Amino acid sequence: MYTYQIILIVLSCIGILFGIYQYKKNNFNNAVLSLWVLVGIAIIVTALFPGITTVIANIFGFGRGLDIIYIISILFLFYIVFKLYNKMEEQKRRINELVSQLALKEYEE
Amino acid sequence: MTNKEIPKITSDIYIILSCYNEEETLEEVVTGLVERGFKVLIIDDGSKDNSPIIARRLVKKFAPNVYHYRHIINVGLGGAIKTGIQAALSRGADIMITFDADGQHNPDDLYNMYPPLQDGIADVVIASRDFSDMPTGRRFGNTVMNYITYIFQGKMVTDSQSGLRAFTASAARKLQLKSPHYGVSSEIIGEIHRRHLEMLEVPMTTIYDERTIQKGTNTLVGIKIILEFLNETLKK
Repeated sequence: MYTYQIILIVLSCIGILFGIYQYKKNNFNNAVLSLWVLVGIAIIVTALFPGITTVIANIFGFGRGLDIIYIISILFLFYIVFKLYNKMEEQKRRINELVSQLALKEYEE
Repeated sequence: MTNKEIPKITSDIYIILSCYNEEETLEEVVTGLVERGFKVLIIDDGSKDNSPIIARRLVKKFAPNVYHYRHIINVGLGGAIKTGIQAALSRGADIMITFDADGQHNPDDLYNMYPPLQDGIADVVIASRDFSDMPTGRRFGNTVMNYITYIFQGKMVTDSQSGLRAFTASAARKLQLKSPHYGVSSEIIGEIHRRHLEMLEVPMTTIYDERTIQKGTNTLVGIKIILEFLNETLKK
């Protein structure tokens, strides 16, 4: 076993524990916790059996196992950024609505 | 314009005066509007200067023709217009006209705007600036904005970024405005198109000095408007 495999496994375990901790603190809901644990397990499995990524990469026509991980990670990050952006826009919209209603309310009282 | 030419005000007309840090011009603008017989809603969009103090003084001085609505934080032009429309509707306005507090609009131009609405000829009147009077950079920018408005909102107008727009109450009720910032100008054009409102364009005279040139829609604002539209399109 190479050092990087041990590091990945340890980091994933810490990640899963962190997820459970956040779940207990009510910061994560069921969906986020499941995703978090699934990603952790997936990393542990690929760290233990690096050959798997090559098999998957071949199915999709990528050269190396690592490439497919890069691409999936980037797509996932894009998705998260998009979600966050939309959430932020929604919050901004709600704050604007609140400010507007407060201004109108002054005269009603 | 002589007194004889001034069209009679036969309806309840409210001016939606969006104001952000306009302590230098606010009093003069409001006075000019009240003297001409309009009711004024000062929508103070979170100004950090003395605008709120001046506004409160004007409310007392011209009661009951001037009202002051204050956003506790700055939202943007679109937010101010939305608040203004709601305020005007709740006060029972027949006609509402958006106006800038920075002194770039000539209150005499309003005389072209409310008669078609009072006579039922149109639902919306937009006053268009004469692009040939503009500094070259400004003229180019506004022409580009007209095309961008056409692409994203589906309607070509003479001046898509005009700040002088008059609506009947029923037209204003139909508008669904989402943009909190400068994108609202193009969005209003789009809404006129989508809600099948009868629009009339009239000429306006713009007062250009160094201050108003610095304040208006510049290239950066233009780019922001485009990004806002792209995002809205993606969400659909």
